Amino acid sequence: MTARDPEAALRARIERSVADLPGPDPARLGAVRRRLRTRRPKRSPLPWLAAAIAVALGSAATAAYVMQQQAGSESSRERVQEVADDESATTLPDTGSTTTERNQDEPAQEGAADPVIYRD
Amino acid sequence: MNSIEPTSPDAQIRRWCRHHDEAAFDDFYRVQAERLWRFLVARGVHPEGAYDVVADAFERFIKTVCKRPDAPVALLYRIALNAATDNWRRQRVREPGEPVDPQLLGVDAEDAERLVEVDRLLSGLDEAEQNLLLLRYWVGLTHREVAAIIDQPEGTVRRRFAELARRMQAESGEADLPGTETRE
Repeated sequence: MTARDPEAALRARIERSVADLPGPDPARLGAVRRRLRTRRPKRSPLPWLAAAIAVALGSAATAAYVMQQQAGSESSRERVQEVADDESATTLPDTGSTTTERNQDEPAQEGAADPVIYRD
Repeated sequence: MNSIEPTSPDAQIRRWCRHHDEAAFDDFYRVQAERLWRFLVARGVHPEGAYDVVADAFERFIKTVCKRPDAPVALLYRIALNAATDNWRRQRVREPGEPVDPQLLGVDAEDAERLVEVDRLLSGLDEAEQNLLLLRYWVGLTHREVAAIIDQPEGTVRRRFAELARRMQAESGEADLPGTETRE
């Protein structure tokens, strides 16, 4: 395009005017540069590490949960067994008869306590 | 294919973002900081305050540019214009269009004359027009980049440039300068 283009003429005026401005002090700009924190951290393995730890923790937590559940079940079973053993010692005679005392005239009430069992 | 010169500002910032190349950032800074400082002074920022605005703009630039390093110069000037606006609000030293006072600016008479020349050139233009002219002709951004900075469609920016150039030429009555060519 020729110099008759008004945009080209305007560009030339702008460039000349701004280029003629007093320039900045290089030392001042250098000081600004030194204050800028541009040192970018190297790509950290942290995200991968964190992911691996999370997976490991997740697995560990799952394993711990399962173990806890299993342990809980076993202890429950043990408790049940213990209770059963205790109860068998007091309420469930292996042999012999049991007697139940109840006023035969009174109807059995719903929710009433279990009949008391006496060992012979 | 999108080819970028190794020494282009885009390439320098990409190298810095991707490969942590401090030297590439230094190269970018060396050219852009001086250019930005002159831009700010031409826009009416106090020469002393321009250092602060440059520092502020680069600090903000560093924090964001690597998220989208495709047009770093345009981003820098977008940030700098915001920082300059903050600076004007804080200092109120010289608003666009206000007369140049060498004493107030802390420059000698010769430098003040040069500032007056820029001021004369830009006087009568509103803030947006001054930005358009300087970003396009001093910083050397494309119409598209300027459009991105001022949030306007590229076609609108092109039209405004053409109108502005015709108007300024008519007002100044100055003959066209020989040997000037347009570029995009």
